[in-house]
Amino acid sequence: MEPEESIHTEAMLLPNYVNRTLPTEEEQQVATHLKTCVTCQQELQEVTAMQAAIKNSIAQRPGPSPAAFSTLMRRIEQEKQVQTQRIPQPIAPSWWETVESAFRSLFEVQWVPALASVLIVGQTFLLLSLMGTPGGQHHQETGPIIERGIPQAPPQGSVLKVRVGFQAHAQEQHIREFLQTIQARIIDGPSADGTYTLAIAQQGTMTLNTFLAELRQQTNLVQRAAPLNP
Amino acid sequence: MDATYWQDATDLDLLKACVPDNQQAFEALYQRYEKRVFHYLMTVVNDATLAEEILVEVMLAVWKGLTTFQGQSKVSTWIFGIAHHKAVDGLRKVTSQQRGGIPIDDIMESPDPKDGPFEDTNKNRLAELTNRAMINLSADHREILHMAFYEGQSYPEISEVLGIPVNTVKTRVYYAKQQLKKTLQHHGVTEDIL
Repeated sequence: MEPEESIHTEAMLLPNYVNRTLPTEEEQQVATHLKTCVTCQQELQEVTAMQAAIKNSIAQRPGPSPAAFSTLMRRIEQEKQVQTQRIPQPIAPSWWETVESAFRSLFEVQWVPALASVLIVGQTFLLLSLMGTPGGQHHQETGPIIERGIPQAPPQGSVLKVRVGFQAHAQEQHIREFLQTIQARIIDGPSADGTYTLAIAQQGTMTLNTFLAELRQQTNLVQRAAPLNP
Repeated sequence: MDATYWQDATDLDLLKACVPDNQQAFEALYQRYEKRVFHYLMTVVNDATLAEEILVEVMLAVWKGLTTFQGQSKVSTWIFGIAHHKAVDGLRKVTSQQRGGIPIDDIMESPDPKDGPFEDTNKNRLAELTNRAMINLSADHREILHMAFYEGQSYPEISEVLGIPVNTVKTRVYYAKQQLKKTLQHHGVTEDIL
């Protein structure tokens, strides 16, 4: 937390004023203010001198070694190989696949989707008419469809995936301990935006929302948490 | 066609030229950013070996993201955004492993007083003291001073790279500068030199 003190708004804009990145309106505001404010004039001198000192200081540093580029290209080649392995290689079709594809082509005519649509609409009407009967009303009174045999709990072994950004100050060890406690694991990341993909086996009454809520409670470790594909 | 062919191309054109798999264009992109990103990483992590490792990770992420870059932000903002996240990740690992690396201070090319006139020597001395003073600042302050004072980035750009509000950028730059001034004065740099 930065300490509070009385500072001119224009003083805060001086670094961008010096490097000419302020919008015209703010630049004029600073220029006008500088004509009358001695404190900000001194501040401007300091900013200018400090900018020059920092530039000189950093410019003296050497660049990366040529080995860095070689390492990068090696890593890219490895990455390309991994990507190639992921793409399934085309295999010559067997005689059975040839026959099957010939049969399949019979069903690829344009009227098949239309027929399928008609059947779906017909089934919907049938379902609605059944629900309109006394028997159908009875079902509605006894409760929602979910109580008629469709399990409320998700299938065993389903996995919840979320994207999580950790606090910059959070230490790796604490993150690992926390993930171990909730039995979650990192399956990808960090991505370009600094987030990781977490996976957790869905248990009991746990939902995506309760999982996200649990993560968001850890404000000292977790900066943001969101569903994988919102 | 070598990397110099792309010398006058804009960042965005160069990025587009890298797809699909144009090694010369990517090499030109790397050459354009290697020093800037490396210096930024050195400022943040204060360890040349680690900075070089992270540089490779950053440019690998850039290569992976070539096809997904939307062009909604500047190419430099995008690359520095990746560098920021990778640096934070690298710092986290350093904090947990306390690895030993080569600090920036040890690899600085110290100016030779015989090299130039008195004024240049003074300038170099101030640069060296500034470097030492920067190391004593927090990583957040070092990083933001690097972006605002060395990279010359605007507050909205810094805000995008760091993922913090513009007003926080303004106050952080201000207080980082105050902290640097205090540290420089502690090193014997008087206000008239500044």
